[in-house]
Amino acid sequence: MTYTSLNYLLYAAVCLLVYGVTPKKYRWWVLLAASMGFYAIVCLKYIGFIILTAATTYFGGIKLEKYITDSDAYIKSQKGKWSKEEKSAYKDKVTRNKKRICAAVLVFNFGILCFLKYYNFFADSLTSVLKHFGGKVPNLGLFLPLGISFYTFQSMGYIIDIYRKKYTAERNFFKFLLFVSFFPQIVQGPIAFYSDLAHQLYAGEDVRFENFKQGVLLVTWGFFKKLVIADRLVTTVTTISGDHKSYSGTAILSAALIYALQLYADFSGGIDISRGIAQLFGINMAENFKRPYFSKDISEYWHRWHITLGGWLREYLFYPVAMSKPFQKMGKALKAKFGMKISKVVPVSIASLITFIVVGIWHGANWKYVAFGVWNGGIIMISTLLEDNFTGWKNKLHIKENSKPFALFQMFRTFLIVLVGYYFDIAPNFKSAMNMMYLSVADLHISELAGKAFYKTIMLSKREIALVLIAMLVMLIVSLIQERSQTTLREQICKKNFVVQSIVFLVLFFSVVIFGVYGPGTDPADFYYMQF
Amino acid sequence: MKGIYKKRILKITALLIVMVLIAIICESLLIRTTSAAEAHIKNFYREPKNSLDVAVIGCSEMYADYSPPIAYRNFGFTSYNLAVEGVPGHFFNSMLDEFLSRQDPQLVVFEVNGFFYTEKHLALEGSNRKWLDNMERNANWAEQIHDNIDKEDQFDYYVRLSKYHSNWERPEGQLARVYNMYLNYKGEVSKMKSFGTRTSCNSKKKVNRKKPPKLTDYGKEYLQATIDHCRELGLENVLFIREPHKAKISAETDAELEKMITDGGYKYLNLEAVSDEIGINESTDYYNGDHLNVFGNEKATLYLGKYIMENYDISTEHTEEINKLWDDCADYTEEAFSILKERTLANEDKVYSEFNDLSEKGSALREKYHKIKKHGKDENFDEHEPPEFGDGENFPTECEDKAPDKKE
Repeated sequence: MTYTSLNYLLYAAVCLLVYGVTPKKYRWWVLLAASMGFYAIVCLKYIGFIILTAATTYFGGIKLEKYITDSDAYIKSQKGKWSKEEKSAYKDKVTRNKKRICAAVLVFNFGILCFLKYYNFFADSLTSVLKHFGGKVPNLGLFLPLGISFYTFQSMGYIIDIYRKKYTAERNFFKFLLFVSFFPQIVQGPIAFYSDLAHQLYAGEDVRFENFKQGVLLVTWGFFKKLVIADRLVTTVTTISGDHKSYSGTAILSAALIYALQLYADFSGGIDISRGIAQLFGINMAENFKRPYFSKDISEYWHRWHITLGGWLREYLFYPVAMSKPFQKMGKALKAKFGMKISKVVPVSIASLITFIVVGIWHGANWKYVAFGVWNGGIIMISTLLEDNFTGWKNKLHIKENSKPFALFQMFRTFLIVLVGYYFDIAPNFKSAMNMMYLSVADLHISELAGKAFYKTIMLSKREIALVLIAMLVMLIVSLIQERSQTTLREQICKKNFVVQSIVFLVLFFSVVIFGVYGPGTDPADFYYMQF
Repeated sequence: MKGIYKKRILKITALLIVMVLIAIICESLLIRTTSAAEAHIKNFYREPKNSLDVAVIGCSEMYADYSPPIAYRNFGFTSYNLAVEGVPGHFFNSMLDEFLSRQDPQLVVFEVNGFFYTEKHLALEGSNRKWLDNMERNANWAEQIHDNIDKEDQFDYYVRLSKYHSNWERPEGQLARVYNMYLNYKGEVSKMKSFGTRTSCNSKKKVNRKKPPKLTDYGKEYLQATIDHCRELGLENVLFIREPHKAKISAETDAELEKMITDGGYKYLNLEAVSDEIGINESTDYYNGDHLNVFGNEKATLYLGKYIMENYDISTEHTEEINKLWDDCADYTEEAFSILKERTLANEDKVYSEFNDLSEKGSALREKYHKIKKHGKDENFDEHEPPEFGDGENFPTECEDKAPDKKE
């Protein structure tokens, strides 16, 4: 049952119906049953993993909170009795124990994720070395449970928040299980913070007509991006990147550019479907994309692309690393030698680099993903270090910071940087990625684009290309409207009269029905991020 | 509050109705079928109820080799070819049920070619869809899908837009079909009553029969099922025939057919065996190995018509209205046959169905549409062509597949 299947829509519709007729108090049970039911239908064999993560995090959170509460109460009770040193020593002990409990939950759950994701990679790598000595590490043929990255990140964020005393631990296991497994987001996010999502899940909001209209519009828009654009382009990308030596540089560059569109349409389309379904139940999930290709620098890009992952990493990896004692020591040492600016910039840049390397590794067990992370982190690092120099050059060249031509230049420059990263995504390995980039420049022949053979190379007919261009234009117009206004486009549409709303919906709906890639003879492409 | 809910329900209902209407329009524009099959089947439903004396059910042999208006002109009985190219025998019962839902024929004629197909044919979507996509959506239709189509494929038969939506990419073929249907629906009824031919005595589109057709196990099963179904319906007058073909069925197959049919209490007539009596000339009366041209059609129609009148007590009494309608059809058909004979003698080698405009203007327009079609690289979608079928081993796999590459 994929997100773009009729069965999924029917499933969501039935759940909504049951949710709507259920008394408010018990509605979260309906969501839980729907979520567990969805998981069982799609991935029954591995349902134990999600329950295990939920259970260890739940009980870990309660134990952690109890320990914190008890320790705080004990410290309070000893007021006036302890010396400063005794109090400090006890606090250090409490901190160490808190960390141990938190770390146990983190290591256990991230350990499951890393084992399932990376064991085979390391087994095969070790085998390639050991085989010379007659040794072998067995490949276990492991399979990733559905949404393991997303629900692990989401629940580990919770345990860290408990550690930080941001809120009290959830006392109802089933409510917590719902937070971990909420079905619209399980496939590929968006990753939610407990403080943002939980209360919405348990509130039992009424099914409101306004939410219904906006949810349906958002789901249809998601389908448009996924079925009309993304699934139409996926074969081009996979075929050319899978065998790039058989193609010219022009074809390879075309594949990379097509991937830029395909990936965005696929991922953001899937997120729109997730958010739209959630909105039907009155649940507002965080936006995951904010017109990323309008970004003027790579840092802004990562605030607009996969926003919730970026938010999670900033909250739970980047800031803890950047503000950790070793980094603070580094800052102090740099200040003494190189001054204030360097002391602030270098630790932050290194923390960025580490974060992006983790992002790269999270994408997969392959050196190309490490290169992806180094590339993005390195660009941010260099741009932060050379920020003053860039300002100086702009002044010398009399470039107006806020002018439209410069803004367009910045967007184009950022897109090129992102495009380089995409080569690491689509290539089978690091070496191929480098080769593909080289060929894209060295073997580029613009005249190829005009030839009839080019259509065959990219496996798209003239009509399909025209359709994709029109769809891209529609996406661009929608993006421009959204960029300039404070409200979402669907909120604006839903304020218009019924006829206008219906026309918009009908055009979108029948665009999907007629132009979508689905039905017999097609191979429905999985969502790109489902594999994580 | 109640007022708001009522208003919303009305609005949503109105929206849903509009959605359904748009879906029906899109489906009718995007559906991909041969215009011939679509016309033959849909024209049947246009015939006035209980106006047909003889039901004729079969494959392309029937609409190529038998002309109901010619039979009416010479013998006075009305009939209709509910015939579809390549339709397998397991649909004959469904076709009979559909015929009987609107008509009360005095005689039912089955052409046995549908029983020579193999099990491989059951999997051919094109053969299934030609009947299922064009018949009326009723209980019979739903039952046929349920009984004959794999469960995972059934949805695409019920909701045809799911299958055909991607035809937006081939507007040339779709426009040609729309134009053909526009021509088809002119007039109260189809004047030639399900007809298809090629204006040739030796068409470039050849049939390559590797071996003479024979009754397969599948074929025997469905022939028996057809006989049993006729018995269950209480039909007394049922005739099974084999139209003339260049590659004749073997004596063994002929005997098998005869035995099964006569054991079932019905008659069997092998026109291949009496080709000489009919006056069929192999070098002038066929357009390919399996189908007669207009010259052959006329001869075979006269023979079959005479056989029917001599062996069955068919009343030819009709209302004045029906007679007038059929007189018009017969006049039209005779004129059409005369034009088609000229073009056959000139070896024009073009396909014609009942809806084609035979005037000079019509032919010129047709040429124009063919050029548009070719420009749209839609050469394989020859909507007029009744595909040739051999012994089941050379069947096209989709509605629009061209006839297999044939060599003599």
